[in-house]
Amino acid sequence: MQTLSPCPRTDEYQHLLAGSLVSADQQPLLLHLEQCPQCAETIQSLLDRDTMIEAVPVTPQLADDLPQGLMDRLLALDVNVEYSGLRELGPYRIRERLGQGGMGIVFLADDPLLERTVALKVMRPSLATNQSSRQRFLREARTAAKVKSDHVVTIFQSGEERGIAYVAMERLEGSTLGARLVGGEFTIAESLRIAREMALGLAAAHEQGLVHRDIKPENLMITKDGMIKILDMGLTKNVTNTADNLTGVMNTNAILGTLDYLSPEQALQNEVSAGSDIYSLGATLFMILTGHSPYDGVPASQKLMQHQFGKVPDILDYRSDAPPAFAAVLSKMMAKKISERYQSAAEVADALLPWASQDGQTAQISLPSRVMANPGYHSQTPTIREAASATASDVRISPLNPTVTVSIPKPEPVLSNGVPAHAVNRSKKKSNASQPEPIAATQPSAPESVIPSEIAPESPKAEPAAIPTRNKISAKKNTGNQTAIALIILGLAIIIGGIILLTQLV
Amino acid sequence: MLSAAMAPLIPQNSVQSTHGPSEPLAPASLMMTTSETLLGELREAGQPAAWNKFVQLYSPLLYSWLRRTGMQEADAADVLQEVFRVLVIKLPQFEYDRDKSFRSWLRVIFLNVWKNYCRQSARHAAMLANLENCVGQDDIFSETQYRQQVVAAAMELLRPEFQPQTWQAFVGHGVENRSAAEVAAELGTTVGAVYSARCRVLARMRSYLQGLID
Repeated sequence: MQTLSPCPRTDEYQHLLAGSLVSADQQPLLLHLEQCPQCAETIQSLLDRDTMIEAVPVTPQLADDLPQGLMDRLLALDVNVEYSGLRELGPYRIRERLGQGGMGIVFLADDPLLERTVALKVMRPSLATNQSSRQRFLREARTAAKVKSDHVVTIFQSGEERGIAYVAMERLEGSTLGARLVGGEFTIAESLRIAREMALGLAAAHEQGLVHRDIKPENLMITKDGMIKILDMGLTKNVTNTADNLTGVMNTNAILGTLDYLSPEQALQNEVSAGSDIYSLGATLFMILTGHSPYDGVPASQKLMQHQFGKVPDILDYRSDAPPAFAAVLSKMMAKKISERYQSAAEVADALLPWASQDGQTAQISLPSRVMANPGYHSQTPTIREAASATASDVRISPLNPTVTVSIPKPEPVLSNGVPAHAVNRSKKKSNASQPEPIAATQPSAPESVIPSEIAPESPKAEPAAIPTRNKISAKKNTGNQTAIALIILGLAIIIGGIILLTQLV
Repeated sequence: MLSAAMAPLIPQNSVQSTHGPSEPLAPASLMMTTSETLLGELREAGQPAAWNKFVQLYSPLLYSWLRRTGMQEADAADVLQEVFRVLVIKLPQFEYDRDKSFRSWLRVIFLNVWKNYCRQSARHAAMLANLENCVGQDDIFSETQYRQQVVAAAMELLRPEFQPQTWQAFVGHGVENRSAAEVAAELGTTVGAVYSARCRVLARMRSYLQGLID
């Protein structure tokens, strides 16, 4: 027969229920309680006063109720906790935490050897435990380091220490477009410049075979100098090497990318390409111009449907001060069918070129070779380069270096709020009627169709790039027609004169 | 002498280890001594499992409340993500004292994030008005509602740490308020074992949620 130990004091049971006893101290009390009817009565009286589990719902809110992918995103925020003690990594001395993305946390760090400050992206330990994930992280850094653009964050170095993979990047000072949007929408002039810089950055990334997959205001930095930099290549996918697909380390069923800027093909979880980034870029532009995403205000599930089947919103319905030709460019970027969008980010940059110059000086534009969004498709919409090559007199093209030198006259007058003077008080519908037809990909367009019609100004001084080309063609045609008419009139006059002379002689 | 049918209800794991097998393991290089309280774990570096548990504990109830205020799924997800983004930085700094409960501390963070989100655009401004209407005596941060939801979520989280019979005894006696004798008969154990089981689970929950509930 097992001898019962002496009954514990009531306050010992109180400590037990208060959770203030360590496990080793709990055990004797619990063993005694199992066998002691008296202590059961004592405990019952204590439990009667315990409200901890009073009216607790038997079926609590469960994590299963959260939208798909949300729990993963929340769990991914733990990096700060995991790395709170990290002080040094490789040659870098960590100063403070700057932010974090899906793959890791970004610290501000010093490089004492080169005496410069860097942004140090450190891979999440939970991902770092997986060797292949670590290799992918570093491979991403290598690929991203090859992207040469003023509009993509520069990679300095990558490395691995104590199983922690890291990437050192240029430190950017400024804010994301998302943060800037809190202060209100951007002016048309700002938006157009930003748009082109984003397109140039994307074009450089696409040239390396990288698709960003998550272009959105939060992934675009506007530096203190006003320059756009594309951030967070953490979701990027190398379209030329499937082994480099970083998303492989994440939930394969999750829709990657933010719903507000998701391309139709991403909404369908189909294969993404450079064209997907172009769609997201268009949606981002829409956001910075209007302060809301294209299909804002509908539930997430409907948002996916809208991206696939909804009407492409017309920016002119929201910003009547937007150039109609730019509205056409934006619509084409956000076309539902990938084949109807611009076929490369470089094409987008080309299409935005007429609004790019801010100082009226000659612009040196480096056009990277195109990464086709749809390799089997050849765009029917001529680029500015093709349009420019139609006349060698105005544009010089080096056959070895894809650099185009374009003489850009002073832009049209811009009001203090950034609105082009001619755009003010313009009838929206009337403007629409004068738009070129950029979306009809199956119908070859005339070279000048790439040139937005409304930027052809009254005064040649206010004419942007490539406009002289079209006018010279027209002028030559006009001169020829006038000469022919003059000759016909002269001929008729001679004939009539001859007839009169003959009549008088007779 | 206890028969096999009357075996005591013992925890699934050894008493020295309070961590169940289902608990995510931290990378070995970062594994450190753990405290038995979740707040303690969160304060220590190298405890990714603590963050996982915290997210699982609070995200369902905060999300469900956001949705009940009429917020759309995507907005609720955005707000929730921002709340946790702030928490991951602030949590290690939280110090419990009687005058500043975790509930009220969390409430301030939650409402600030929500207000900032609502200020981002005109459409969100409508949600701000809704927020003012929803926050009051009956909101999720009222003492009773908050405790009920957190405890319920913690029960789900801690359940794998106990043997099924221990858990059934706790639920039958503690949550369903049935008599110890009835539960004991149903489970084929002693009344004392039912009390012991209930106390064991309560003690674990109390220590786990120390500082998180008032």
